[in-house]
Amino acid sequence: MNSKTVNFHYIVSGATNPSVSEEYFEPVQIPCESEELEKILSKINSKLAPVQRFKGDFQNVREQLKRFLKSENREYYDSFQTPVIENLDDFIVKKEQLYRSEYLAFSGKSTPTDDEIFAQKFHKLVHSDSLEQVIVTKKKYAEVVERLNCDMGDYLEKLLVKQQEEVEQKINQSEISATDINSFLTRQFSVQDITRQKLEANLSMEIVHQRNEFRNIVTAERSLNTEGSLEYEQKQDSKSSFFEESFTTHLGTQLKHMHNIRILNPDIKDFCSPLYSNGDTLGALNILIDLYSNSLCGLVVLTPSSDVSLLASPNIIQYCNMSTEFHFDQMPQQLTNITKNAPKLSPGDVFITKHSNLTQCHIIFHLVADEHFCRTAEEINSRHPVILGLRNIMKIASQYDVSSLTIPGLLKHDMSEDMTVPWCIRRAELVFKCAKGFVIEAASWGGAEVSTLQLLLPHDISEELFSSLAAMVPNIFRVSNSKILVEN
Amino acid sequence: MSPSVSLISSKFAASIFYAKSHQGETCGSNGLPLTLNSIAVFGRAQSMKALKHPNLCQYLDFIRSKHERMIVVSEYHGTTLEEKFHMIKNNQQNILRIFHQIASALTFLDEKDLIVHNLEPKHILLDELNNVKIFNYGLFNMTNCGEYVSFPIGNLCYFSPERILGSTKNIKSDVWSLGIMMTELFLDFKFCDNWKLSNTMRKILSFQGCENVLQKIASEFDRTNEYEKLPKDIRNLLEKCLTVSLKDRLLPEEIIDHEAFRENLEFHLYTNPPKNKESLLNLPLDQIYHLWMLAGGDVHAELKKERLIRCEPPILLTPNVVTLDGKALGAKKSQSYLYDDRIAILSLSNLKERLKKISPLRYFPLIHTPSCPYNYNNGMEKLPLVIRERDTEYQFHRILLFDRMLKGYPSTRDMIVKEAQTDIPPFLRGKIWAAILDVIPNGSYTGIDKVTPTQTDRQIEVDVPRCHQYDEYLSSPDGHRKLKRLLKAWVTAHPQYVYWQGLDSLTAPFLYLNFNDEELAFLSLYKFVPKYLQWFFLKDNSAVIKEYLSKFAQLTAYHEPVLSTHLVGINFIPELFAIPWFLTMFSHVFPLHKILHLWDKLMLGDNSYPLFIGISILKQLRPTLLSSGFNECILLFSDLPDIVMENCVVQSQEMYETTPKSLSHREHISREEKAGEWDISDLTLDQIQSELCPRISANDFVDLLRYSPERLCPVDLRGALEFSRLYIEGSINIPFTSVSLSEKNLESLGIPDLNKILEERIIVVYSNLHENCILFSKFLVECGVPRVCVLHKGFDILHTIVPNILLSK
Repeated sequence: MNSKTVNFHYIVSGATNPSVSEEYFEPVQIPCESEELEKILSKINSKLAPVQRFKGDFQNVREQLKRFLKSENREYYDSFQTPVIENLDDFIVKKEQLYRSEYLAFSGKSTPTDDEIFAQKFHKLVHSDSLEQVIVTKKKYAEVVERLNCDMGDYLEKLLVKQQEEVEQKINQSEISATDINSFLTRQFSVQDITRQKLEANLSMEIVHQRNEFRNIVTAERSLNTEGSLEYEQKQDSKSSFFEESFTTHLGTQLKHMHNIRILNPDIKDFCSPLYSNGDTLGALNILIDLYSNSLCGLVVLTPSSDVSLLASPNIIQYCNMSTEFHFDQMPQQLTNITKNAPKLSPGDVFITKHSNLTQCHIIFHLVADEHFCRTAEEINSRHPVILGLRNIMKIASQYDVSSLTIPGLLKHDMSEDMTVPWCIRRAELVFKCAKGFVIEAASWGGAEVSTLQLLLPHDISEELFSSLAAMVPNIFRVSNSKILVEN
Repeated sequence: MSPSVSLISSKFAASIFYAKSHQGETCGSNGLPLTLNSIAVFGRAQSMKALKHPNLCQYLDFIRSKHERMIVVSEYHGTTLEEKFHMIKNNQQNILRIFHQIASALTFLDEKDLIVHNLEPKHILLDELNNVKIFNYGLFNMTNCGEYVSFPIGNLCYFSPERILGSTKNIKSDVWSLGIMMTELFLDFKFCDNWKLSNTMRKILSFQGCENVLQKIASEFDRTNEYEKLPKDIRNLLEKCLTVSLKDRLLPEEIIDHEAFRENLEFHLYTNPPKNKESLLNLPLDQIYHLWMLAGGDVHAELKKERLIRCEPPILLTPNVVTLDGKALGAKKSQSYLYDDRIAILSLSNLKERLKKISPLRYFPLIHTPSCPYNYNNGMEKLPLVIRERDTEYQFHRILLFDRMLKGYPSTRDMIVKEAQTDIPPFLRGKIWAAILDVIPNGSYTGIDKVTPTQTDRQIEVDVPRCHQYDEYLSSPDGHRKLKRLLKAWVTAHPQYVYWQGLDSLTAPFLYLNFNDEELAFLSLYKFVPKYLQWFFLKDNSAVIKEYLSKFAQLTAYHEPVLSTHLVGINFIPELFAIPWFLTMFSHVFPLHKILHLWDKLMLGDNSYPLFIGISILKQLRPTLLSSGFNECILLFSDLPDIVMENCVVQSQEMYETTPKSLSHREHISREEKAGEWDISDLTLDQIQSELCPRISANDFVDLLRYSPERLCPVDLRGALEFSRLYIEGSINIPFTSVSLSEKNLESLGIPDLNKILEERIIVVYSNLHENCILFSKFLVECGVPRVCVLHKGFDILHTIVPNILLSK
């Protein structure tokens, strides 16, 4: 239906001789929203002489115009032409589909999925007295897996030693030919392979078994029969010590939001170390209590390649496999799923894995950077794909209630020789400023606020450099001074 | 308690929906981030609150929360037509009455160019007298014809053929829905009940080209008998509502005039229900709702209780890949965001419990009867403002009191001002401010041209989307449009002025408070500017601003000598930071909720009040400022840290009350009386700029001398001989020629216990030679002595005071 132009005629007393009425007209587009009324009136106004404008009969023009528009609009809408629909069935099916996909009532009885039920029950469990038992249970499970892992390593090692000895024996038998040696080695290798496969199968069977058992217990709300209690002692210095400094800042124009900013330099390996291995019970508590909450912890890790299976820092994959992942897919499976979704990733892309068995984080954002970026001290600006990827991460964080986020402060995990002090300061300034900008921007994204932002510096950074970078934080984030007490 | 009673006693319900979230990169054509759809809905929805019609449920509140969630609170009263269907269907008179009342509601909406689009029995509420109230009629409009949401709006059963095919803006489609609902009642059946959606649509579309839809429905649904029994006029009415041709279908206003309603006209109209025995329930709904919230009402919690807010743990929903261009892959679609049209009834029992002890008399405060106290503050006024603002009973009294006084405005204006000095209830703030500013709406705003393009449009276009954008009102597209209109109207109404950046911030609080009443917002601004910012918006306002800032510097020296000396020392002059403070009356530097409290007091003071606010801000930042150099100060003020507003208000109020008026004298204000001989007048800008201390008028000096000499310490700089001849009682003589000012130390003056003498007093320096006063007062300030001022026109003026105040030995 096309819009049309009609003329609005109106009569006002004449400009020169008020006793003679003059007729004017004004072209108007129909349909006409009611907001347009003022615009049309202003146009009419500008055509008239002041004398005419303030005459009483002009006041009627507004009313006249209003009525005119109403009736013209009505006529326009009444002449609605039935659109030609080529495939009526298709049209109807699509419309029905829309209702089905958007209305709860039409979406089919929405029974929660197993994951949701498990999540709900688990969340309830860790917020009850049974929290301790949950952790003890999980720890025991983890110990089994860890032992299996160790055993596997030991066994394979022994096998290798044994095979080595056999090879040496063979070689010492002087009349053996090269082909014999080769075939012997091949046989040895296949034994190795089969053994490894068998052991790995054992391990994954155990993992599947643990997972099913645990999930069944939780879902069926059976009690976890565990003995023993937790030692709440934090084991000291199992990890290397690191530097850390915290700040509080209020960001935003006019309306301020409070954020915690922390700058620190633990090794990323410590940061997402396996949850149950070193007796860090408090860490486990935090991770499990918040797992299904609306305040998640996220960690950004840079990955230097674009092949997903190789991407994630090998340590992380290894750590994830140290215990059973009861809540999500086992890490290799998650990576496979990602490859299915996005076979090829390029710098600035991000892939996301979820974890319940690492300290410090529930979600890892693997930010893809090219190898050159990771290896050298490149100069970048705020439009660099990695920075843009960081912004996307912040968006996802806000959308999915990640309220505590750790980002690499220099976009590097290790120091290298070409990372000079001035370079580090420039890079830190760029990253900090961008991060600040994103945090402020996030306030308008309508999601969760990042209440804690951690800036992770390379673990092998010198103390001097760390303190000079830490000193930049209050300047860049305009840290508010401690509360001002007014003297009375 | 029977279920119907509990329904009657509850009046509100909340419903919930989710706005569509923007996908991918979110930047508009102006380079600014796109407005969230929920904010757009929020802005559009506000106007719905103003819709008042006996047959419409009143909208009360719109609450936005994270992840695009919108909660709508509205009146909800009675039982749905769906539930009452079987009680109504056999009574033709009653059906006609419902018919008539729905049609009159539609007529009302049509006048405002609003379409319902989701008219269905579930949304027709019937009270105990079977009066109609339509519920949820605003959804289509507040979502901009469904633009802002992803779900389709409306129940397909009641859709007309053209509506299914995409016609959206015709009220006659609602008439069809009405027709179907009424046909159901008259013929006692349910149209397409529990059908598959696709079959329903096919059925409705099959009516196209049909001459008599009513007959067709009757025969297809096996209702021919009932159809034939229908009286002719009713049959005719239904047929005309259910014609496929839009031109022939009735308009709502034509339904009302239809012959079927001719008889018994009175009977069809809305009958007022009897007054409720509980006085609380007779209050206006928005007041009850406001009190309900104060009494701990929590809409979120009620919705959660009804399981209308369902939360899946976010970790189960995350995508697993996010590409550089912001596309998220592998995210699970959450069930929580689907549209669910159920509602949660908000129980009033908490509020009733809170207010049950209040005697019915207190619902009617008598403000003109001195024998009946109308003030039920119970000493609450001594508690901090935040507590008062959240106290249900206190606010109850305040709202009722102000409401009553506002009804008597303008004759009650003085009472309003007096009561506002205690505090202003947030619920009525916009109207109270307008009353304090002497605003009397007269319809003039409509006549002001707000659309003709002008030169300032571009600047306004740039400023509006940057003005207090954290706020939902001001960041919504409707808020932008309104602010733009207000600014343009102000510029048109003041040809002598220009638009200075900052006017947008100045307008923001008024728009925020009167979002649905642009005229009130405009007139408040119109009155506010000359009261506090006279001539600030001249094209060349430099003289005005310079005078203002010099006055500010002088008063800072008066109240905060140490700080002032430090700032002067590092050359950090007010021009560097205070212009946006005063030009926008602080509305540019603080968030709205703080401005409101600040302005509550500002409104009651005169044009000098803002100066004291400025000083109290400096006071709060004092420790930081004293330890900062020039650069740090600039940085600090470029993004002002959080200021504790309550302290700021208390301090500025105190300074405002204790500082003699003439100290803040400025030439550039609108003045009603001419300055007299003993007032300050004819000061040039150069004079003000060259003097560190403010001048006091002879009038104020004499007042202090007569009425509170204990607060005054006159310092006479004339020679000892002259002093012994004529002097002011209680004055100290420090002959200027005898002192050395090189050492900034009070003890160098050689007067024992001078510190003690000056304490807590207003120090007025005078002499025969004005230059001496300037030098000496500056010396005092540099010694850190507060409250130093100089007598305007010096000692000589004191000769002229009658009766004589000079003594001689």
